[in-house]
Amino acid sequence: MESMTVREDPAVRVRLLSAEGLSKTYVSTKAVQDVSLSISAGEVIGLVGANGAGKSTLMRILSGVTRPDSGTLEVGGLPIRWDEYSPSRAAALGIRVVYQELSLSTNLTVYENFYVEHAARYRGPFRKWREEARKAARARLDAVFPGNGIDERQSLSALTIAQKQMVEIARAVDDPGLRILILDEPTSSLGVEQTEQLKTYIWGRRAQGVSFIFISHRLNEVMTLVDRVVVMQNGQVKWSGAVADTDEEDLVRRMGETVTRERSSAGPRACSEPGTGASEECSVRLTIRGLRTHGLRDIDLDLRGGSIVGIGGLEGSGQRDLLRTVFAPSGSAARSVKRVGRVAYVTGDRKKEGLFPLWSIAENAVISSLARQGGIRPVGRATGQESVRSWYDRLKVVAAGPGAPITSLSGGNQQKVLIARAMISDADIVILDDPTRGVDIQTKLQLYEIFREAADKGKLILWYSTEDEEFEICDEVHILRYGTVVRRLSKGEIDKNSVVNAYFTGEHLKPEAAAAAKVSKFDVSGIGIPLGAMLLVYVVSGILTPAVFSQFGITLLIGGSIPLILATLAQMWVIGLSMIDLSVGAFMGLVNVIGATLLETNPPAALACYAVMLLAYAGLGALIHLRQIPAIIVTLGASFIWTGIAYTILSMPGGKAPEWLTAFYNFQFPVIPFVLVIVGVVTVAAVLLHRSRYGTVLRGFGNNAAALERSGWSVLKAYMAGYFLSGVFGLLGGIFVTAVTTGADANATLSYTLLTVAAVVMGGGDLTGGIVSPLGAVFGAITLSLIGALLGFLNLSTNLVAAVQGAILIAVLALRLIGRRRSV
Amino acid sequence: MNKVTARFRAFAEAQRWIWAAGGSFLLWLGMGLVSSRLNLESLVSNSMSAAFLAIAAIGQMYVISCGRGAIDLSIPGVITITAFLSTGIINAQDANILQGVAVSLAAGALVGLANGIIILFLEIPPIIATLATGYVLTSASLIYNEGFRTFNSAPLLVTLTRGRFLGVPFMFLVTGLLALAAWWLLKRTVYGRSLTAVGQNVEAAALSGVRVRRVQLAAYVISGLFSGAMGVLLAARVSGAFLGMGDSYLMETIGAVVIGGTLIFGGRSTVLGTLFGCLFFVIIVTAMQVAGFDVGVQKIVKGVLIILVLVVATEKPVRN
Repeated sequence: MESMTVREDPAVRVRLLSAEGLSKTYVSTKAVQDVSLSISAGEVIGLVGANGAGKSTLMRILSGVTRPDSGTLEVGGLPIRWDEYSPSRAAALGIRVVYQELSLSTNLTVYENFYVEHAARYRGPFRKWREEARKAARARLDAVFPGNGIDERQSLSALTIAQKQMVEIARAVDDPGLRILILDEPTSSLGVEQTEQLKTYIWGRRAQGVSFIFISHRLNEVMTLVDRVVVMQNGQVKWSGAVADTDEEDLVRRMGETVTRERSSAGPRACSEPGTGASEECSVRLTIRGLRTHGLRDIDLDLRGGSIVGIGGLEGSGQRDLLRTVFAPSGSAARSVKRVGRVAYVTGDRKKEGLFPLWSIAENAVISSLARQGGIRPVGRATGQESVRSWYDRLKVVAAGPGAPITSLSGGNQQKVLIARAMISDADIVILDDPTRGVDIQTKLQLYEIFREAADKGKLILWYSTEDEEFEICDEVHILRYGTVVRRLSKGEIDKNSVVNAYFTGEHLKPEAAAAAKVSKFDVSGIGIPLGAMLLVYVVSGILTPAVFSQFGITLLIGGSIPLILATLAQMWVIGLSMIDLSVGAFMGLVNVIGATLLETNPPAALACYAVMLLAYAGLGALIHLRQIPAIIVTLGASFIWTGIAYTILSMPGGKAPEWLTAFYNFQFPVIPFVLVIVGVVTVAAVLLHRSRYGTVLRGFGNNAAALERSGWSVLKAYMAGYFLSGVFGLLGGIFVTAVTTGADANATLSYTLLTVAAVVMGGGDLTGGIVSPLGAVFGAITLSLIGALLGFLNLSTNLVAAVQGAILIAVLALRLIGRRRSV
Repeated sequence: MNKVTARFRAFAEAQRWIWAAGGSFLLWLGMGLVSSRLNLESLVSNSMSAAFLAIAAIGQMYVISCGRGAIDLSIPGVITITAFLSTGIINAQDANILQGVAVSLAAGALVGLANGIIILFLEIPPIIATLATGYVLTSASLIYNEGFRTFNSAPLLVTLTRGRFLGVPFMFLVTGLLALAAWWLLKRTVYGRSLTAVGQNVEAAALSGVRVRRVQLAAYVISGLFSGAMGVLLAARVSGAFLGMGDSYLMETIGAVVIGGTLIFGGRSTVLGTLFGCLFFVIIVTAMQVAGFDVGVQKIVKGVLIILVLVVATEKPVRN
C-alpha cells in the first residue's frame, strides 16, 4: 500500500473521499489498475503523470462519468453504489470537475451558464431566477478572479479563451456544498495573473475545508500549490507523498521518464547572424514590415533560416494572430509579410485543427505534401509511404503501424504525426502553435530534438508556446503585448524569469478601446434586419395598394401568413438544437387533412390521431439521439411517412373544415384585427418558452450538448422536448391551414418546409450553435409570405415569387455578414 | 465461423457499398420470386432508371463530401432548367445537340459556381444558399415554360437514353464513364484527397495547406455539371421538359448517397456505393408498384426505409 503522508495531525482531518482498488480496462488497455486514493477535507492534491498514465480516467471515475470494472468508493463515509453514480450524483455529493476542454454553452450568457449547471438553486418566476443566477455569477467571478472585467450578462461567445476558463472555474465553485474540486489543466489557458489569483482562491477555500485535485503538466505550479503529490504511471499510483519530500526533477523521474534536458549548447548558427554571407542555407527568410491587422500592429521582424524563434506573451497578446498571418497573410497583410521559403503549420489543438479522424497515420502525415502539389495530380496508395515510414520510425510513434487509424493514438503520438506532416511536406518555415500542449515530457524532449535538428538543416522554426520554460530552447524570443512586439530576447538572455518579466512590459501600449465593450448602435445580428425587411415589404405593398393597411387587408395578408409563422416557430425549436426538420411541411399537410376530414366527422378520433402524431414527433427526436443519425435524413424519411398517410386518407384535395374552426378564425375582435391578436399570442408564447428555464437549457443543448449532459440534463429528454415543441407548433400551424383554406390538401404545405428554414435564418438564426430568435423568425415568416402579394401589387408575374424569396434570403444574410464584419 | 463473420465485418466496414448492393440483389430476388418472373430483364430495366438517378447522385455525393452539413438543394432546379434549355435549343435536331449540351452544362456549372460563391464568400450555410438558388431556378423554369412548345428530342439522344446494344442499354456506358471519372477524381487524385480532408476537418485542412475554398467551390461546380448532364439525358428520355420534373430527385439523390455508404457528415465517400444506392432506391419503387401498393403507401414505405437503413447501417461519426 502506498504511504499516506499527511502534514498535519490526521485526527483533525476528516476523510472526505476514499477509493479502494479502482480498475478500468478499455478494449485492450488497462487505463486504471488497482488504484487507491483518499482525500481529506482541506487537502490539495497534485495529480501528475505522463499522457496515458490514467489521470483522466481516474478523474472520470471519481466524478461519475465512467463506471469502473471493480473497486469501491466512499464519499463522506458513505459507500457509493456504482449503478447509481453519475456526474449529477457526484455533484450532489459536492464533487465537481473543471474540464480542460470547456463545458460551457457559448450561445448563452455567462449567468445562464451558471443557471444550467446549478438549476436546482435558481428557481422562481421569470425575473427571479435570472436575477439570482446573475448575482451568483458576479459574486463567484469576483471572488476567484478579482478585477476580471467580465460582464456576466455578456454572451460567452464574446469572451476570450482565458475569460471562458475563468467562467468555467467560477461556475464550478458556485456550489455551497462543494467539497472536492477536480481541476484538469486549469492554468493551460490562464495568464500569470489569473493563475496566481486561482492559487490564492484555492488556499482560501482549503482553509474552509474544501479539497482540490489539481492535474497539471506544469510541475512548478504543482510544487507551489499542493500539499501532496500523487504520481501515476501506466494506470497505477506509482508514488504518493508530501510535496516537501520531492522536487520537480524527482517527480519527472518518478513519472518514469528519464529527463535529460540539456540546454542546447550550440551557439548562433551561421544563418541567424545577419551578414554572414549568402550561403545556401540563408535563403530561407521571413521579413515583416509594419504589419497591421485586426489584432496586430506595427510588427517588424527579420528572421532567417537556421534558428528557432520563440513567440511569447501573456495569453491573447496576439501570438496566434501573428502565426496565422505568417501562414496565410490576407488582404493588406500580404504586402507586409515577405516569405522566402514554403510554410507549414503545426497546431497544438490536435482535435480541432490538426487531425483527420477517418484517416490512417500515413494519410494524415502525407496530406500537406500532397496539397502542395495541388490540382488533379494522380496519387496512389503508396504515395509518400517511404517518407512516412522513415518519420514514423524516427519519431518512435507508438502504434500498430503507419496504417493504423490516427484516432487509436494517444495525444502525444498524434502530435508526433502532425510534426511529421510538416516535415514530410519539406517546408522551410515551420510554424509551431503551442505544439506541446498536453503532451508528456518524454515526447516533449523528443520534439525539442526534432525542432533543433530542423533548424540545423536551415529551416526557420517559429514557435509559440504557453510553457515558459520551453523558450530556453530558442535562439531568440519575441515577446508580444497588445498585439505588438515589446521585447526581443537573444540567446544569452533567455531564461524563464526574464521571459515572464518581459510578458509584463509595455503596459502603456494598452489600447484605449480594448476594454470598452463594443456596442453597436444598430444591432445587425439581432432582429433589426428581419424587422426592417418585413416593414419594407409591407410598407411598399401599402403604398402601391393602400387597402393593405385596412382591416380587411391585414386580415387577408397577415391571416394568410399565420400557418407559415407557426411552421417557422416549429422549425425554430429544431434549429435551436442545431438540427434541421425537413418534415414540418408534410406534417402540417397531414394535420390539415385530418382537420378537414376526421375532425369534422369524429372529433375524439381526430384528437387521438393528433396526440399520436405529437408523440411520433417526439419519437423522431428520441431516434435521432439514440441512434446518432442525422436529423436531416430522419426527418426527410418522416416527411414521406406523413405525406403517405395523408394521401391514404385523402388522395385528392377536398374535405371541409369544421364550422367551429372557421367561426373561430373569423371571430370579430374589437378594434384590432383578430389575426393580429393570434400572431401576437403565438409570438409571445414562443418568446416566453424560449426564455423560460427549460428553454434556456434547450438552447444550451443546441450549442454544447455534451456539457449540458455533464451538468445532469438528459439529452434524450431535451431532443424529445425540442421535437415535441416543434410538433405542437406544427400541429397548430396545420389546424390554421385548415381554418384559412377551409379545406385540405396533402401537398399544400410541402413547400413550407424549406421556407421555414429560410425564415428562421432570415430572422437571425444560425443553423449551428443553438442561435435562434422567435421574434426574428416571426418577422422572417411574414416577410416571405408577403412577397407574393407585393409582386401582385407591382404587376409582376407570380412566377417570380420563388426567385424574390431566394434573393431576399441571400440579401438579408449578406447584410448580416457585412454588419458582423464591421462590428469586429 | 467467428473468424469468417469478423472478416466479413472488416470487409463491409471498408467496402461500404456492399450493403446497398446486397439489398438491391435481395429485393430483385424477392420481387422475382413473389411475381414468379425472376429474370435479368427486370434488373436491367431497373438499372436503367438507376443510371439516370446516379448521375445527379454522384454530384450530390461530391457536395456532401465537403462535410459540415454541405448539401445541394438546387439539384432539382438544375435538372428542370437544363431539361428545358436542352430541349429548347436542340429542338429535336441532332445537329443542335452539341450546342444544347454545352449550354446546359455551362448553366449547371454556373449554378454550382453561384452556390459555391454564396456559401464560401458570403459565408451562408450550404442548405440555405442552395435553397435560395433553387428558388431562383424554380422561377426561371416557370418563366421559360411559358410559351414552351417543344415535345420532341433529337434522335441521337433518344437512342443514347433509350437504346440498347446486345441487350445492354447505352445509358450504362454513359453513367459508367461518368462514374469512372468521378471515382478516379475522388480516389486517385490530389483533389479527391483534399476534398476528403476538407470533409473531415476543414480547419485542419486549411492549416495543412489545402486550398479549402477552391476545393469546395469545385465540388459545387461538379454537382452542377452532373445535374446539368442529367437534365439533358432525362429530357431526352421523357421526350421533353415539364415543370417540377427534377423535384423527386432531391430526396432520392440524398437517400441514394447515404444508403450507398457515404458519410453524411463528410470526409468519406464511395462512388460505387452511390451507384448501388440508386439501384436500391429504384428497385424498391418498382417492387412496390409490382406489389400494387397505392401512392400513399409507397411513400410511407420509402420513408420508413430511409430511416431503417440509417438505423441499421449508420456508423457514428468518428470523433476522437
